[in-house]
Amino acid sequence: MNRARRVREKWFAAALLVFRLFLGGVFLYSGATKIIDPGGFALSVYHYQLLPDVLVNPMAIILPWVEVVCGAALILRWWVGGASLVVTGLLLVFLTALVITLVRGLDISCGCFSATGEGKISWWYLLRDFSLFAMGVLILLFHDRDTGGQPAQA
Amino acid sequence: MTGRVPGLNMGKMKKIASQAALLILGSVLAATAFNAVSPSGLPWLGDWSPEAVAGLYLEDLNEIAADEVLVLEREGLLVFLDPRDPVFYSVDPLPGSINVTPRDVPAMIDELRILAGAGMKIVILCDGVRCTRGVELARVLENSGFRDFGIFRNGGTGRPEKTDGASAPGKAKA
Repeated sequence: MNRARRVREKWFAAALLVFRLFLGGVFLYSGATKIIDPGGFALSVYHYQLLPDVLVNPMAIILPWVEVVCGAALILRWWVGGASLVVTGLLLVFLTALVITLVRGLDISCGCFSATGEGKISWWYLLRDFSLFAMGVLILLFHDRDTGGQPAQA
Repeated sequence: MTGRVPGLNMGKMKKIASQAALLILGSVLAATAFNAVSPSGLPWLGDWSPEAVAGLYLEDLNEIAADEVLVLEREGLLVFLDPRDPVFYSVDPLPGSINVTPRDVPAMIDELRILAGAGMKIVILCDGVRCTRGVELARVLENSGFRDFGIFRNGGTGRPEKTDGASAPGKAKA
């Protein structure tokens, strides 16, 4: 391996490490804020008008814990492959929900990082979620390289 | 980017998928356990009827009961604010009410302060079962620093009938 390639690999590994910690932190924080106020988050889920009423509360109960568990797994480098798969899948679902909401012109709060009191959904939210999604895909595909070539637990 | 894409062989994909499934299963168990013991836990099946959702919107607002409205009206101390669009208001106005949409607040806020200062009770009428515009008007008033008002849920009918006290869906378990 020549020197330039080694440097590239090193930077790439460092970027993956930063992405993993950042994405893990985002999901940990996002889930924790929703666990604190499940009623408010349930109302946010309801506002999207995407789920039948019977699924609103189960979603509000379970989703924040999936975020917290997977966020913690990413930060602790524990089952990074599985955690990044779940996180990337969730981000894809969130992206779809945002697009549908924007197209339908619903004037609702995102509910992304707090159950209440957030700004209205805009295209900026879509860009933000897409950036997170891209990070998730990179982690999913290359997670065993995020420590400078040392294999992770997969 | 250099090197081949890892994680694309079948064995590794199976491993990642089973990790994901276990993480989700663990999350479901943790969520179920926490929800069972948490004072703010939700019922698994919520009431998301329009009446119940309106109850959530009105949760932290000063809701005025029908009998209180009747007393204030009898004493001539009541000012109803109707938040409906002026077009709808003109078709079916409640006698004595003032049509104030959320947009009108900056122009009306001083007048409302004078009325409240003179001992009048400002009451926002709900514009329907969900009370969407009524709650929006209440939030705009609050954000303008004016909190000396109540909100009347049965206002959508234009008549101070007895409220039925619908339960709120996201309410914590008793």
